[in-house]
Amino acid sequence: MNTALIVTIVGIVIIAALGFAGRRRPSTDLADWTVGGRKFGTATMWFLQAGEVFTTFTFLGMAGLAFTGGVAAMYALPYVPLAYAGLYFIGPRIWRRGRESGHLTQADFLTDWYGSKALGVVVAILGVVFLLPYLQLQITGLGLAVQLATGNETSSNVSIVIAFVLTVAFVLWSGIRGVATTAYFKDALMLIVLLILIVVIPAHFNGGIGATFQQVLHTHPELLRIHAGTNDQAWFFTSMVASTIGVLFMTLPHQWPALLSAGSPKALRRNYIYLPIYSVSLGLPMLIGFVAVLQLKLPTGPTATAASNKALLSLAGQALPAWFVGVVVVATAATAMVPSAGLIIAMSSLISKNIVKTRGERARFTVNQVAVVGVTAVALLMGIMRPDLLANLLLLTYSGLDQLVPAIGLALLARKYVGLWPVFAGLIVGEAVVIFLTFGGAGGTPFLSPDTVMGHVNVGIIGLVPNLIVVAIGAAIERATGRAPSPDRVATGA
Amino acid sequence: MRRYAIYVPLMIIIVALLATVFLPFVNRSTLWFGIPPVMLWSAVGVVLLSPALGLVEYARHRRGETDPEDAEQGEVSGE
Repeated sequence: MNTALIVTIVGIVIIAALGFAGRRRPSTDLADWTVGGRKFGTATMWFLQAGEVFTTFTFLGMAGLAFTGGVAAMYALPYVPLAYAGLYFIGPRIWRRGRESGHLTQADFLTDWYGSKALGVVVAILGVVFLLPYLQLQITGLGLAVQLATGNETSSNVSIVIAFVLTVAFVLWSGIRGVATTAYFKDALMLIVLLILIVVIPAHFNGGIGATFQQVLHTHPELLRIHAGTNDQAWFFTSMVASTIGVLFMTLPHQWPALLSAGSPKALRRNYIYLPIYSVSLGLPMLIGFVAVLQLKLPTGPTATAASNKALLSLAGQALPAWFVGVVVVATAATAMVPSAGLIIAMSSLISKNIVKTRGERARFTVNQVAVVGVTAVALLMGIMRPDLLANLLLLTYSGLDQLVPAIGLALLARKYVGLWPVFAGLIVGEAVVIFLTFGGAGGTPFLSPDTVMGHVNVGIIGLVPNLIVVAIGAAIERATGRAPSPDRVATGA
Repeated sequence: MRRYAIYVPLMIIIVALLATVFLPFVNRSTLWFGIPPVMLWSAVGVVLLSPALGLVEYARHRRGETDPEDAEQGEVSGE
C-alpha cells in the first residue's frame, strides 16, 4: 500500500466521521432527516449550498474542459452565480410555500400546486433517473483520482466502495445534518488544495500563471477565445443559459432539501448575496487546465473527455510529493462524497415521499432508508462496471431536468394561470425530444442528432422550445374550452 | 422610478455576463493583466454580483420591508 493510498483512506474515514458527528443519535423523522427541521442559519446554509457548487465535475472536469476547450470552460463560472441572483428573489417564495405546506421535495411542491399526485410521481421518477448519472459521476471521479494516485485499478475500486459505504452509513445516521458537517471540512480542504495547486503547478512547469498564459498565447492562441468547433459560441451561450435556468428554477432535486432547510428567508437571501464571490473559486481548476495544454498530449478519440479529466491529477503527480498527492485525492474524495450525500438524500426522499405508497410515517422512513442503500448501490455498480464521461453526463442531467422549467416557473406565480394537463404534456414532449436527440447522437445513427439539427446548441434548450409551445397551446385550449384554472387559486406564502 | 434604479447595477452585470461570448473586445486571443479577457471579464462580473445583490438588500432594509417570519420570531421571543 503506497503513501497516497494510505492518506486517501485515512481522509475518507475522517470525512465519514464528520458526517456521523452531524447527529448524536440517528434521525428517525423524515422531515428532520431531509430538511433539518427548517432551522439552519446563514453559515450552515452557506456550506450546504456552496457544497453543491464544488463537485468532482468542478474539480477534475473543469481542468479537463480548459485543457481541451480553453476558455470555453468559462461557461461554467457564471451560471451558478447568475442563478443565485434570481434565487435571491425566488428562493424565499419557495421556502415559505414549503414551510406552510410541509414540502420536503421538488415533487411535493408540484403535486401541491397542480393538485396531481401523478405529476408528482412522474417528476420524482425523472428526478431519480436524471440524478443517478450525476451520482455516478461523483463515484467515477473519485475512482479516477485514486487510480491516478496509486496506478492501480483494484485500489481505485476498493477506495470507491469504502468511500460510498461510509457515505451511505453517515447519510442514514445524520441525514442533511451530516452533509452540513462534512461540507465545512470539504470546502476548507478543497480551497487550500486548489490554492496550493494553482501556485505550485504553473510555477513547476512553466514559471508561473502569467508565463503559462504567455506561452499559450504564442502556441495555442485559439484557446484564449471561444472559437469554432465543438465548444463554439452557440455551445458556450446555450450551455450557460441552460445551466442557469436549470439552477434558477430549482430543477435539480438536490437543491430542494438545502433550500428548505433554511431557518428564515433572511438566511436564504444573505446566502445568495455572499455565494457569488465564493463561486469565483470555480475558475481555479481551469488555470491548471492551461498548464496541461503546454505539458500533456491532447487526448483524441472517443475517450478524449475522460482522458482530459485526468489532467489536474497527472500534473499534481508529477509536481508534488506522494503524500500531498494523497491530500489532493482526499480533496477529490470530499468533492465526491459530500455532494453525493446530498444527491442520495434528494433521491431517497423522492422515492419514499412521492413514488412509493406507504402507510404511516414509520413505514415511509423505512422505505427512505432502504432507498438510500438502493440508489447508492445502483450508482456504485454503474460507476465500477461502466465508468463514463464526466462533463457530458452532467449536461445530460441538466438537459433532462431543464424540461421542468415551465412547470416550476408557472407554479412560482402568485396565481394559477395554467392547469395540469398543458404542463404535463409539455414536460413529456420536452423529455421525449431531449432523450431522442441525446440517444440519436450517441447511438451511432445520428440522423437527427443535435449537431445535425441545431449545431452545438444545448439539447435542453432545444427541448424547451416544443415544451413551451405545447404548454402555450394547452393553456389556450383550456381558456377556449372554459377549463382554465380557477383565478382564485392563489399561492400561499407568495 | 427611483425604487427600480436599485436593480440597474444588477441587471447590467447579468447582461454583461450573458453577453461575454458575443463581445468582440472580450472574446479574443490576447491577455488582460496576464489573463485571458474571457476569464477576467467573467470573474469580475461574478464578483460584482455580490455587492449588486447587497445593494438590493440594503434598499429593502431602508424601505423598511420585513419578512412575516420576523414578526413571528418577535412574538415567540416576546412570550
